[in-house]
This record gives sequence, C-alpha cells and structure tokens, in this order.
Amino acid sequence: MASDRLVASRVVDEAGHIVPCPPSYDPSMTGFTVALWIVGLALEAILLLRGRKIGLLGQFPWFYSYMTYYFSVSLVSFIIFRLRPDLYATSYWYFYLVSLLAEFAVVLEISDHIFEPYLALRDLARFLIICICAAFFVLYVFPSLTHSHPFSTALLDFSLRVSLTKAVAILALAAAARYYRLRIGRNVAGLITGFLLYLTVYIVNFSAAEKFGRSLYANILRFLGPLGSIVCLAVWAVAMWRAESAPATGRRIGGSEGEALEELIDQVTRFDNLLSRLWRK
Amino acid sequence: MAPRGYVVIALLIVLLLVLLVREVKSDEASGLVREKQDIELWWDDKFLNLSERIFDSMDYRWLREEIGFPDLARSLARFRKKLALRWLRAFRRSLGETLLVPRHFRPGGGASHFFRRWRLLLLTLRLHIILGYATLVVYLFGPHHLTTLAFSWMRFIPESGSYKRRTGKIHLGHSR
Repeated sequence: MASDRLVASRVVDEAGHIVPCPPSYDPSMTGFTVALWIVGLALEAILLLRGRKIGLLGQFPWFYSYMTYYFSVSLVSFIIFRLRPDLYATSYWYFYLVSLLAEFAVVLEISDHIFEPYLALRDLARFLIICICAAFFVLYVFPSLTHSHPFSTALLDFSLRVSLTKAVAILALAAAARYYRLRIGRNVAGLITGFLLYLTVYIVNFSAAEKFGRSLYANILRFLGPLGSIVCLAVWAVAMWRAESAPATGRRIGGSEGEALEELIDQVTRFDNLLSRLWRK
Repeated sequence: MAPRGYVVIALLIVLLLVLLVREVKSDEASGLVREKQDIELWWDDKFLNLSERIFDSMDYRWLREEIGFPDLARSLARFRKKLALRWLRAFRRSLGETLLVPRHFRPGGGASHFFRRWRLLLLTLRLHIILGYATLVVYLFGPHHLTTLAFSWMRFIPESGSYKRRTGKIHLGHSR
C-alpha cells in the first residue's frame, strides 16, 4: 500500500526519468495555486526593491542574492509550468538543490550578523554551525543516500534531512545568542523566524510526501509548501522593511584587527591559565 | 521516522523559536556586563589562593582522616560543592563579559590574522569545553575530583606569544 502511494508521488518527465512530485505540484493549476504563485512573486519583488531602497542589500548580501535567485527561479518555474508542465518537476528539483547551498550561506550570514562585533564569538558561532552541519551530514543525511531505495524517495528524504539540519543550525545560533544574552535585531530576528517557519513547513511536507504521495498532495499538502513560503516571505518583508540591527552592548574598543585579536587572545589566555592552574594542582 | 514524528519535531522547532527569539529584557541583556567590576578580582593572588582552597581536598581529608569527624567532613564537602559551582558560574560570566566586548577595528591585514583567529577560536572553544566538563564533574562528584579527572589534552594550545613577551612569564601572577 505504502509503495503504491510512493509510485503515485512520482512524475515522469519527457526523457522518461522518474522524478518525485514537487511539494507544490498541482497539475490542474487551479486559480488558488496561481494566486499563491503571484503573491509569492510579489512579496519577493517587494523584498528586493525595499532592500535596495533602504540600503540593506549591502548589509545582507547573501540573503538578497538568495532572494534574487528565488525570485528568478519562481518566475522561470511559473513560465515552465505554463508552457512545459512535463519539465516542471525536473526543473524544480534542480533549482531546489542549488537553493540548498544558498540557504546554508544565509545561515552563516545570520550568524555573522548576530555575533559580528564580538571577535571570539563570531568565529565560534561559525565553527558551531559548520560542526552541526558536518555532524548531521555524516550521521543523518549521508546514511539516507546509501540506502537502496528509489531515486525519487531518496531525493525527498535528502531534502527533508537537509531542511532539518538547517533548522537545527539556526536554532543553535538562536540558543547561543540567548546564552550570551545578546539582543537580536529586528532584521535578523525576522530572518530567523521566517526561515524556521519555512523549514518546519517543508519538514512536515517532505515527510508527508515521502510517506503518502500524491493521494494527499491532491488535497491539502500541495498548498502547504507554497503557503509556507508565503508566510516566510511575509515575515521577511515585515522584518526587512526598516534597517534595524541590534546595538552592541558593552564598551567599544578601537584599533586594528590585529591589535584587537592579540588583546583578546591575551585576555582569554589568562582565563585559560587560571583554570589550568586549578586543574594542575 | 513516521510523518507524525516529524510533525512533533516541527512543533518543537516552532516552540523553541518562540522561546529563543523573544526579546531579551534590558536587565537580562546587561547580566553579563554587571560583573565587570569583579573581573580584576580573578587576577588577585589572595583571591586565587582562596579559590584554590575550594577545589583542594586537604581540609576535607584532614577532618575525616586525621581528627576523625566524617560528618563534618561531608558537610564541608557539600558546602564546597555549592561554592565551587558558584565559582565556576562566576568564572563563566567573567569570561563571557570579556568575549562580549564589541571591537570595531580598522579593516586590513585579513590573511595575516587567519592564524590569530584560529588560535582565538581554539582557546575559546577549549575554555568552554573545560568549563562545561568542570561543572559536570563538580556537580556529579564534587569539587575535589577535578584534579583526578583532569585531561592531559588541556595544554595542547601553546601560550600566546605577545602575552609571554609582555609579561615575561607563562602562567599567572605567582608561582606555586
């Protein structure tokens, strides 16, 4: 029964390749689906134009590059869907796999924005994200690729696991900021919130798609993906409407980066020596 | 995993999101900075000697073995455990304050700072690991077990060159 459902969740492109049905796949292209698509495109355009107007493009280069990519892909996918629906599923997965990489860059950008003025924590946060992603890839994502199941199922499973990895990395960043009692600015808080909402919707969507196939997509789940994206875009549009980052707490120290690093290394070394002294005793 | 499991995970993520991204109150935000005036205390020799006593089992053994007051020795160990945990918490706060000084510097010298940044990263990471480990050991076994459960890898990072140049010594203020 389950395998029948999985077969139903695949589509066959012109070259005869079996590809999994995209989460937003709606072959009948109802008015509601078109409306969702247009609202998504409009929100992406608003985000980009507003970002340009208030000068956020330079502050969040990876995020706006990702948005530009997302906008272009949405537009191209819409055209493909209208003109060559048989190519839609294949193109969707190509675009999606490229966007996975871009999303990791945005996660790193979020980290840099939270911890930017704090030299030691900035690199520590990056290291934390890289460790989390590497650990998840080795222990969670990679094993799913080695299982002998159909390519279409493997792709859905891979997407699901990568989405979960990104969600955990973002949560770890938010937890680290909380641990150090850092105020997260409105822009970055919005990015985190939108991203996590989008990822959680995709996690649910991919897991359901993998399990139930198009029998459910035909009713509710095909709207869940686009709705998740729209909620995410709306949160981003509100959060990025004004440029507003968190003020750095504590006193500020000037000088060159080398001097600042040396000074900080000396201070941390003193703490390290103090703790080591107790342990060597 | 069944979709139901992933739905639970998704709900958990949203819950954590709400808890973590909510506004940090102003008194919370200044929590780390409040300890600022105490930072110099850490380098004071008298304070350091007192701190060492917290983790030293000599008094405990003297009470229990030499003058034969095991109940009093146990009571001392319990008190020292609380004290040690508070000491470690204060240490963590002071370290946090040091790390949380915003630094705005002139740009330049990117590549030459690569190794300095790596060194700082390793030092910070190591301190966090050691502090976490020390807190766990003290919480589970008491403050007198730190020495026996210490790791030999603790000194895998060499001392800072500039610190040695400026102070002429490797360790803190005085030798034992």
